[in-house]
Amino acid sequence: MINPLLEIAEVSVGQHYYWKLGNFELHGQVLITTWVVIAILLALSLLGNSNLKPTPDGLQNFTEYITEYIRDLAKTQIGEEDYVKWVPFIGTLFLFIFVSNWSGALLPYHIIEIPNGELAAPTNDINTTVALALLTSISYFYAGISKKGLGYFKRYISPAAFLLPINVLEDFTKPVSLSFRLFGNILADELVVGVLVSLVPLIVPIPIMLLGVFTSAVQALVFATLAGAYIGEAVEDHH
Amino acid sequence: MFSTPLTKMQALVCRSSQQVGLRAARPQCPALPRPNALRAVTVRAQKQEQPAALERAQLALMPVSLAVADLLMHPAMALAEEEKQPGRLFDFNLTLPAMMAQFLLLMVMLDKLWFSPVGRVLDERDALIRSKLAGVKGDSTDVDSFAVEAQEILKKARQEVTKMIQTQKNNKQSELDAQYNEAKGKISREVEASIAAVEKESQAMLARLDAQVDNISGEVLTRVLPDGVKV
Repeated sequence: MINPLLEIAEVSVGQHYYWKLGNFELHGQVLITTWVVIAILLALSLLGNSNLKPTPDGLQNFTEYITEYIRDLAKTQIGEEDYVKWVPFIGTLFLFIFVSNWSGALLPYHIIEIPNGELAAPTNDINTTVALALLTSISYFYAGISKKGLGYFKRYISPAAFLLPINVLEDFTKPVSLSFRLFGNILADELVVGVLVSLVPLIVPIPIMLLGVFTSAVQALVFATLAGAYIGEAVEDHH
Repeated sequence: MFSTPLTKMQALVCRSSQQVGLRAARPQCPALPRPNALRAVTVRAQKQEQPAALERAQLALMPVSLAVADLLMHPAMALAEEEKQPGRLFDFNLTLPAMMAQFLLLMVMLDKLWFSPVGRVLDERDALIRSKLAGVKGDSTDVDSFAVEAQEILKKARQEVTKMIQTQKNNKQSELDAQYNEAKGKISREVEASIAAVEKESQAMLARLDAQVDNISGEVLTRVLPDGVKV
């Protein structure tokens, strides 16, 4: 019989709350926390943007600030001409990852008990990060091909033809690096905080938690910036 | 080998019933080539030792007991309550496409509720400011002419004012001059009058003094000079 005191603080890695849908399995804890993130973002939109005025007041200031920030990010990475239609994609990437990471770090999910595993940031699951990275890959291919047609594939042999293998390899490493950067950061921070809390629950984990809040925000920015950079690379003209 | 093709299930049933020694228990099972006669006799002999009812019960429970034994042998099932499956980090499943779909849905919703409306407000404000600036830039020539006009008006006003001041000053000056002259005349008259009076008095005084001087000198002479000498 395990000492019940030892069960108060436990760190389990990779335990999932499995849901079955036909022949397939789902990670229930990821879907639940994703729905929380979506609810937060939609609530923010409805509260801030339901009554827009030419001179902003209240929450409209905040939503305008975020929109300007994202527009500036997209314009810097993609360029003046094409950036407007990519603002929703990059903005949603940034906001989703930012709110997911901060929800995992700041919301007291651990008090809600689920049958297996625990609730945490949805980006600590490899499925989420690979999904976002694959969407980014698809979107930069789509951007390049819709702008240049089949001429898009010339970039594989530019600036020199012997770089073809490297350029092809780049198309595989881009999504891998995007997904693993985000996954590793978030999961590792959660694990470190979990271990520290199980060892010394008071005060000591706080610096790591603050660091985690900071780096998770930076990771959201990095993901969105890199997505913008890849799209920008795909639509830019030859120099 | 068989007269009619059997389904897998039927073959299994036939085989299992044959294994437990029930021959011809099922009519559809084809007759097997006779097994080793010795084995059949042994089996039959064993079977004959037990009473019939128990034999039937045992035979009925056999598949069930086999199943239970199988269950007990499976380690995972035995420890299902107390031990979790080992955790898996790289566990790709339907969650991946589910997350992609949810993200795209979120993107569409945020575009409708956030980026489009707020973007429109930002652009409108920008256009408004630009148009106002442009409108104001055209007014700069007007402003210059207005400035020149203002300067002229100011100059005229200043001239008027100085003129007014000048006339006022002159009037005042002549008034004051008149007063001054009047006063001066009065004072000089009074001064002359008083000087004349004083002179008269001084003359009278001098005359008296002269008379007194004569008296005094006469007395002095009478005292100084000896008697009998006349002046």
